[in-house]
Amino acid sequence: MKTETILRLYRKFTHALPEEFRRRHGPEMTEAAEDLVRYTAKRRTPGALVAVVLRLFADLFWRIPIEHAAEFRQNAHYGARMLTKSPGFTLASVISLGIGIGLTVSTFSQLELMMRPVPQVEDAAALVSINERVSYPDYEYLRDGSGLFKSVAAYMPLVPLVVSKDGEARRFWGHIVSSNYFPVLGTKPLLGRAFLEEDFRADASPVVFMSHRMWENRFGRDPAVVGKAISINGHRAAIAGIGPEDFLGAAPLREAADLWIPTSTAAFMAPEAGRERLHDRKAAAFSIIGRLSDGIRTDEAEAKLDTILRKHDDAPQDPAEIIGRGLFIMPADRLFPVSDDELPILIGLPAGIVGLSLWIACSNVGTLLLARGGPRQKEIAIRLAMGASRSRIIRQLVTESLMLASLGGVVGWLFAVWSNSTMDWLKPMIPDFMHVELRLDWRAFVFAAAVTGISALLFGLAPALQAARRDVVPGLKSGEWFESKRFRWFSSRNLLVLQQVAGSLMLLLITGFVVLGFERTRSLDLGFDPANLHMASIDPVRNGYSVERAQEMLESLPDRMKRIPGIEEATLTHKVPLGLYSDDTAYTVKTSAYDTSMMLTLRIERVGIGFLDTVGVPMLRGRSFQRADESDDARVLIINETMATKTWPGEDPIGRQVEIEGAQHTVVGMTKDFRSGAVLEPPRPGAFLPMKAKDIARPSHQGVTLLVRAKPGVDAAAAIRNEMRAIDPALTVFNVSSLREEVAALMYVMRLATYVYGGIGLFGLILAVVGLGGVTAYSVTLRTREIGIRMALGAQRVDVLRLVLKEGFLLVVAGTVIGHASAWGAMRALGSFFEALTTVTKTSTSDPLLVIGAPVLLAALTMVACYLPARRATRIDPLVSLRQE
Amino acid sequence: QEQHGYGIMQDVLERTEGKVRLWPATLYGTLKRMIEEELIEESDERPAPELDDARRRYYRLTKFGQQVIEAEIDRLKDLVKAVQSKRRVPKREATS
Repeated sequence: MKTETILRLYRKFTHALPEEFRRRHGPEMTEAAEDLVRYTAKRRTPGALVAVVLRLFADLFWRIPIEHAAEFRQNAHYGARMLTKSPGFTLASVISLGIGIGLTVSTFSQLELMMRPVPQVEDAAALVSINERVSYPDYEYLRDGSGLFKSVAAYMPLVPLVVSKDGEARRFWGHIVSSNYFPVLGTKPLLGRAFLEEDFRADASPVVFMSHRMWENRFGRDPAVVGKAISINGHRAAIAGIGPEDFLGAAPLREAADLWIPTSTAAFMAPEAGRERLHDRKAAAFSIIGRLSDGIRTDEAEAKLDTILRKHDDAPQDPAEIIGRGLFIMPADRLFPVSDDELPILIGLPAGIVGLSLWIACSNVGTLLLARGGPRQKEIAIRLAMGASRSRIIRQLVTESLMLASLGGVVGWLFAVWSNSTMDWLKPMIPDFMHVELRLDWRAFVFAAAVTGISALLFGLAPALQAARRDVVPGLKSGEWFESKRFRWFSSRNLLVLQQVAGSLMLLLITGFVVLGFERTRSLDLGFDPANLHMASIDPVRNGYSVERAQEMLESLPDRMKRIPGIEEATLTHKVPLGLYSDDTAYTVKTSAYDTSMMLTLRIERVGIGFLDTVGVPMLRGRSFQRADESDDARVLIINETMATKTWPGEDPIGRQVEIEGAQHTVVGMTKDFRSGAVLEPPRPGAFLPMKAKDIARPSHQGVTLLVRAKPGVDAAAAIRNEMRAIDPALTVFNVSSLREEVAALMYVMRLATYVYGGIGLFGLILAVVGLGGVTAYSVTLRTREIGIRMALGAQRVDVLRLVLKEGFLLVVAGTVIGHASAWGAMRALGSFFEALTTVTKTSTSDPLLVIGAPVLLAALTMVACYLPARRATRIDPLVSLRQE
Repeated sequence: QEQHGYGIMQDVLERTEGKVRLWPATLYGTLKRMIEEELIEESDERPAPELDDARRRYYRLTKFGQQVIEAEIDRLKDLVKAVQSKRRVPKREATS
């Protein structure tokens, strides 16, 4: 290669050096290189020339990053000085960015948790379930005769099983499963085997499948237990296999299981799964999990499902006769049971709100940077005049924006860590045993950081781009550019502020509505007074009592309790009131009105005598239960108001007939609606049945619950425990709690949601105030001279104040109108959620507190933010401002 | 005394008997930093036009740079002294 080519190449590569370095030392450097190369080429060997050229290029390439780093260090140093020089601006920007990023990260981390698939299940995405339970014959029909499912399994969830080991008995939850349960889920055992077809024969020896968790906690991960027999509900069953880690069944959050037993084993082992139950078409006790046949869509399957099951159940064929019974196919792939219909509410609302906050944060930083860009133009003009290159200025501003964004990122990450640890609103819904850890979602962080970083970069560059377009001289003279100072609606600045005010108001309205709704839910009428109500559950049958002995004990229990000083009332019930995942058993019942029969889904609670008095559910008509109602041949029920108005509108329900599980029951009373399950749910048809001997023989999975109303200040929990110990020390007492605590636990989610949404709304408010204040301050700086001239010509302070405030006021008014419109649109888009909220809480989207309160609050605060710089404007000294000329 | 970049390069090469060669990018990077630290400054005095090259810049030590050199010489002297006394090396052997 010729020396000239080498030198040309060298000169070319010097362009990679920072511009200032190149301008200052470039020519000399290349001269030195030229001298060296030419000298060596002339006087030395070709080998020496090659060595020199290599060293020369190595030296250059080594130096390029070093010089860039040096420049960056200088920029950063200068930038840090600039940022600390205006601490208000820096603080506002960093907090805006930080909260924007932090909210995004923590929200998406929680959403990610909700979207996680069921652990240890194969191809979870294809799994579906049915929203209601079906009978075992219905399941068999679905499996063999419907053609809807490629594969389908049934399981009876939440069956309590008492496992005895070394003389100690403990309750565990189990599933009674059909033979293809494990194949449908695709779950492979860690040890041993899953169930075989032979295990389901009536004469098969009993087997059980155990969870990894139970194997670890109860058996110390001993691999030798596989094949050994354990005692379950007093019967021996061999452990067939151990499940993989974290596998707790098909719906691990609602129905976590530690033991799985085949229907054949369960037939004599678990009271709820007697052999006759497997043939009873009315006993809707089985959950369905399966995979739809190829080519069958969910809506098709749903439409067919109801017809198929109705035909099979000999139910009325005319769909018009069916009220309140709907069968839905639900995806069963996620850890949290979220249907696709609920996705927009559960994911859409938080995602939308967070997106809006992020957007406001970005435009806020934008306004702040633009506002700061004005005064900085003088500084930029000086640096340009001193010989700094425009690219250097741009790099300087980029460095500053990146520093801001990084600080914001750090604050955001810390914010997310903090909010995830303190406001983890999903935690109370996750049982302690679940290995579901909230992970900070780095993808959300990258996304939020990129969005905020890019907007900081763009807005941060604005002053440099403006400076690059114009002559430096006017900038040097007064620190401002000669531009039209008339109020222009469509200047970029005004548009920025406008959408910011509108966005903040939208955020405030939506979050305000949600907060108001949740707040009202908390004071919702439960239908009873939870004060001084206490509960405790026992399960005598599973504790080894005979049905007769259990019945005898339970019959006398309320009276024994009432004899304790301080206890006023006592009663029994079949299930725990107000449980978060309480098993709301729904029955499809037949009633007749106007000589036609109808079907509807009825939530039934089996209660002891005196339940309504103890809990304090007001009777509206008829009578409450009597001792005679507990006999086997008495068939009476008490219905709630909703049931009465749905079935016999405007008529007296007393004496009407309702067919439950094939038997006619007579309505003897009507109560006010009684809230027992989810809070965010409109009242549903419900009924009470008297608790009978057969209910005691086949208790619910929560056993039998004793409810007592005590005098204020009485330690009812201790009294109950003492009394129970006196009756039988071997009896396990569980679920000891007060109804107050249960209500608080139920409302915990609501309360947290109130705080979270309230916090986000407040954040939007702060952002709007900071943004508008910043822009007004900027506008005042720009108009200093104009204000000076006006004051020199005799304008009064109040005139100046009006001049400055007018602009802010117009922006706020316009922003309010746009914000209202968009909030209304957004609430319409999320209609179903807001509809549910409005029905339950009786909060209207046109609630005056929101429609008037929110904009007034926003306007008041933003006007204060405008007032501060406006007041500064009135202090402008005409002499000083005009001298700048 | 004023010196230009290439001159410094040659000077160092001669003084170290060819052992140390300052390559251009490193040399000018160092000069830039020394200017920033105010150890050297650019000089307006230029040699006669027939010896000059328009591309060259000339540098000279500042007063502060002079002080730094002297302080550095003292420091190195002290260091050598300290090492020698510590190792108790006879002067004759060390210098020979």
